[in-house]
Amino acid sequence: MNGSDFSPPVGKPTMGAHAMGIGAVMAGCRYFAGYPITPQTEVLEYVSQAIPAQGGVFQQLGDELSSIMAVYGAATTGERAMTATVGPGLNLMVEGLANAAGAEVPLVLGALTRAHVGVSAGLLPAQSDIRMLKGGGNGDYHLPILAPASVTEIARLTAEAFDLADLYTTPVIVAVDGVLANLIETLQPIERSDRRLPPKTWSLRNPRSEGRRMISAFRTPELDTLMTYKLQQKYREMAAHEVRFEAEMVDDAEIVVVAFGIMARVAREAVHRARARGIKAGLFRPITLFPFPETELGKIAGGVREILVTEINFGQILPDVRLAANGQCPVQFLGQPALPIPPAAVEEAIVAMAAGRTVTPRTYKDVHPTAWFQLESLPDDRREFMGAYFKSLGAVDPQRWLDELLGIRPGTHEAGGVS
Amino acid sequence: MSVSYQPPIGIDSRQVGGAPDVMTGLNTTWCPGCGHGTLATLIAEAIAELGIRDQTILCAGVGCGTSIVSQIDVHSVATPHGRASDTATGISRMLPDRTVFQYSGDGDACGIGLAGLIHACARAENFIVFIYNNNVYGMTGGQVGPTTSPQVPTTTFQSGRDAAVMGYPIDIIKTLEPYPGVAYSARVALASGVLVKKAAKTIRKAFQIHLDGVRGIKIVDVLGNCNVNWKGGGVTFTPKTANEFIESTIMKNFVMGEVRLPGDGSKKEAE
Repeated sequence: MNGSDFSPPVGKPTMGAHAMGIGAVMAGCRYFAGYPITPQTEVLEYVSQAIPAQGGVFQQLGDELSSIMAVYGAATTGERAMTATVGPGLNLMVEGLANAAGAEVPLVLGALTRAHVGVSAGLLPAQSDIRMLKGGGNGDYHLPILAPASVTEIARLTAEAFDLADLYTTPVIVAVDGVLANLIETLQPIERSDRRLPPKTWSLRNPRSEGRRMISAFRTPELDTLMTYKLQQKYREMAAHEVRFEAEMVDDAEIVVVAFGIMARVAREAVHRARARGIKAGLFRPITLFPFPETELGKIAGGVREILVTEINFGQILPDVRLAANGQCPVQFLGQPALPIPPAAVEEAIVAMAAGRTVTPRTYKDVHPTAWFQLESLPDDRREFMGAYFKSLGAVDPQRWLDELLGIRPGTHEAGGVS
Repeated sequence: MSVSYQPPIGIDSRQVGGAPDVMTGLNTTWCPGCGHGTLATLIAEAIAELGIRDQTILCAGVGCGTSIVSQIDVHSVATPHGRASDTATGISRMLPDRTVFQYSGDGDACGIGLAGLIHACARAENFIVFIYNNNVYGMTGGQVGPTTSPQVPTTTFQSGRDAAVMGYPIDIIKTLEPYPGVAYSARVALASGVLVKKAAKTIRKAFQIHLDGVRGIKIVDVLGNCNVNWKGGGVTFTPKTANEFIESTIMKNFVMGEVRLPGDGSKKEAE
């Protein structure tokens, strides 16, 4: 058995974010550094007590850059180390991920994903960071991405991520959308991995008298070329041995829905409803987003009429599905930028496909049916947009309020301008 | 493109310094006359004298200084640009019995890595920091940096740092003066034989304080030349004139000597 003898609170109501911490402690994670960001804070709060209780170190550092690099440092000593963050923090962490991939440093990153572009105001759950997780940093590297769909699976896959990291000496990502992160479910028994792992002969813990260790993403130009070849070999091995997925009712299916994370659970419900209507629908859930179950989905694509991909984004595993289908069947998409798509909408899409129609895209009003103000699209003039926003908050004279807020005196609009 | 400096035939570079077991003897990528070689040798000598080769871990930032991983024969980690303080944090937290030291340039430590360094000092992390401060981004060819003195000719501000646009240099030793997490701080220069001797003592002292078990950051900022890439506006230096320039001009812009000493925040008068 790999990891610690910590017993997880099986049978207790457990939050997804806490389950990530539970997985880390089960795996014997000795170092965790992080920087608070919603909805990752529950992970921090959990491990801040649980990891020191197991004799490890928990630190809160100055930012996400520092956090991932301190985790990189801790991991060079051969200890298991982890951090967790959310989209805007991932922007900073890709530097550490690319370098840890190039220097072959095993670490685990919990990526809790929320919506929109840049820092963004909504804090709404989504799956919009997958494209970035698949690459993000510079150079030809990939990282294994595990996408659990339940609280128990978050704990199990987080623990297993440490094994994968050690086995392939690479950073490994556990991607959990904001819905699952804050979901509370009863923790089920968690299988412990007993994979055989290679000894960490490369780590700094080994005595200097047995030879010097040097850990670096840069060596000489020629050695770096060789390393890039070595990394590709590693990715081929991952593709051969680490692909994980779940397929339900696909044997006789005419329409297969492909979804991961919380959307896989939504899709399962929709598939069952479609079956009840007499439509032969099935579900394909990739558990590893890298390596993607390309061959397995490709076989299924050869025997179905159509595939529906549904994600809380605008199609971030969609290219992988299209590559897997390789033109054998049409691939349609149902997505929106934030919040889970309701089962009824996925069901409707399946029904439309069964009738040979094109899936109707989800609009802004579908996502926010009770928003403060209903717009067809954002006005081009940002001033007008902000005025509408303040009006929606109940301002009597929104334009004046906005002017005061921005320090513009009456009559100076042309001179001052608002950008 | 890196050009390898070849020592004269028959000379083993290890025999130049006093630490043949700690130096690798490999060719360096440092320019002739550059102080990086001097600083690396002084560090290696301190490690040899204190007998800590097997327990020392080097954590190098990015810049000309990175080459130190090929010079000093200890366990080492190279980090991305500016991340040496963060990486050293993780290493020293996991291996508290080892002697971890960060080796950075002034751009690495005081520019891109300043936040990490200051936070490490605030948290009273337990490792040693050596900064080779040549007042310029030497590796990329001599651009202005956060520590550049107004008089240093750079390729991006050719007549020297323009205060109206670029303000004034950061004095990292002064900046860190109020931090109780800094156990020892000092600035030395490698501009003359006398100053190099002083630097050797200071570097050894930083290691000794660490080995005495005093927790906190021990930081030594080392002023050195960049005789090749202090070249903005067609100015040229030789190693000799560059070192003279440090003594006559650069040293006047920075606090010199010991600033923080172990104990209850007691300070020694700056020299």
